Amino acid sequence: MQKPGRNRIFVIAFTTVLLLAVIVLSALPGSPLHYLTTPISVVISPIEKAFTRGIDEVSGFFQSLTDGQRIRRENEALKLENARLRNQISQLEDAGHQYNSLKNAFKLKDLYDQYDIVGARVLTREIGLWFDVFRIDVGTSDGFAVSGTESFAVVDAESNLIGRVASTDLLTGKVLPLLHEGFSVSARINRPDGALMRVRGSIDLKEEGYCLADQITVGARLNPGDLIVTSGLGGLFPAGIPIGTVVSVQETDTQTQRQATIEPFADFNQLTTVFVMKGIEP
Amino acid sequence: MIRNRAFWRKIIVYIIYCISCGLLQVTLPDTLSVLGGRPDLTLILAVLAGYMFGAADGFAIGLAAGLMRDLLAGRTLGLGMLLLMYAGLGASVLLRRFFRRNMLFGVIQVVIFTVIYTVMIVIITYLIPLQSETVYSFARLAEQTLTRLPGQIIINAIAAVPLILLLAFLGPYRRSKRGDDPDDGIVGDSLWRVA
Repeated sequence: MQKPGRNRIFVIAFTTVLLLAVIVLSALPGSPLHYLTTPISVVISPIEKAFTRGIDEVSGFFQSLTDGQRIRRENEALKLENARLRNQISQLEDAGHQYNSLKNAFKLKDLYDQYDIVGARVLTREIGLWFDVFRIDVGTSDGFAVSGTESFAVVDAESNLIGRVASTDLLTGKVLPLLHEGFSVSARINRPDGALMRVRGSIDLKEEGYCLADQITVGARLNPGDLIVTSGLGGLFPAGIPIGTVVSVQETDTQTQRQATIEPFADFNQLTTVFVMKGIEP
Repeated sequence: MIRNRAFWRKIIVYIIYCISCGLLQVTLPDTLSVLGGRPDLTLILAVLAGYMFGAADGFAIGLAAGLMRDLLAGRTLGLGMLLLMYAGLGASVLLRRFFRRNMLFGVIQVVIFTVIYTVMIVIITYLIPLQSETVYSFARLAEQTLTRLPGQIIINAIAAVPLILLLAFLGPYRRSKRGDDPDDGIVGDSLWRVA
């Protein structure tokens, strides 16, 4: 008869090997393993949306509570009037934001007419190294199936680059953000003679909300304040999507090793809605 | 019948905890962060399940909480499951044999495994760079990650307290119906689970 201890070790060893295989397989672009999560996504998605909405409302409640206390301290005599006006302003601001989002989304549609643009709600946020992608509510059922050769650009309402879709299941997709050290995109300076470069995420700059430009064309003029856009090379990202501005240029002895720090236009802390771009088949 | 009810209670309660912890972790606002760290609820759940209820629970909840972690925010599938499975198993062995089921040591377990988990993530990031031509030095990676560690330890320790109470009083086992697993080598004290 086998000892229970040996069985346990066998189960742990077997599970470990199995999980290592899953890690390797799921790291491959377009891995079918991601579809295995579809049943869980189907169950969790509605709970997740309700949860996200609930958390937003609770945060909003506590935020308004804090604001209200501050206002009461500062404006004791006018607190009722002030609260009423703030409420009105809040409602008008909300309506204004929605109007601007829709207006910009339509502008986006005109700008990239070779692309289908689908709006998506951001469901989750990152939780640390290796768990630093965020989920959106579009998946293969919306026509976004990531494969080894195909992925999709993600932009915000002002058409600034956010990242790309890294994997999808039936209902949801995972977005690799621009600041992520696994992300890179071919870019150029937004001038007629704009030099090419690569923009990528960097562990060193991520915390400050910056990304890095390297592989800058030898002899290129690059100055702080220059606007960086996607070059369109590589086929994944259409040309001309705004990425950010140059904050500083790190000059080195050799021109080939020049690097620049880029401040993205997109505000990654305020993302609630993003737009996924899909090329229209000719 | 009672045994069946106890079994289903355990399954349902664990599912609720895994889903709630996973979803809360990825939706908590930055206002709840301490020195840049937000509570790592899935890690805490796996560690506490192992510490409070034994190796089998630690193993299973580590896998389930890790799956939620991978599903909601993971670059790949499996890494969260692997790390949290070992966290759950480790917590069922470390301290538990020496200090029995003491709530304070539950919090200490969470602190220890927060440190171990962070170190493991640094090692993995060093060994498996995402872009082959961009290799970060181990010291640089450690420095980047460890700056957040104090805040992460504090917020995880704080978050562990309500979770311990929830698991003990609204947990997978009724306090009067829980038997000890003789394989764990701990019987009789029944602080968390009473036979």
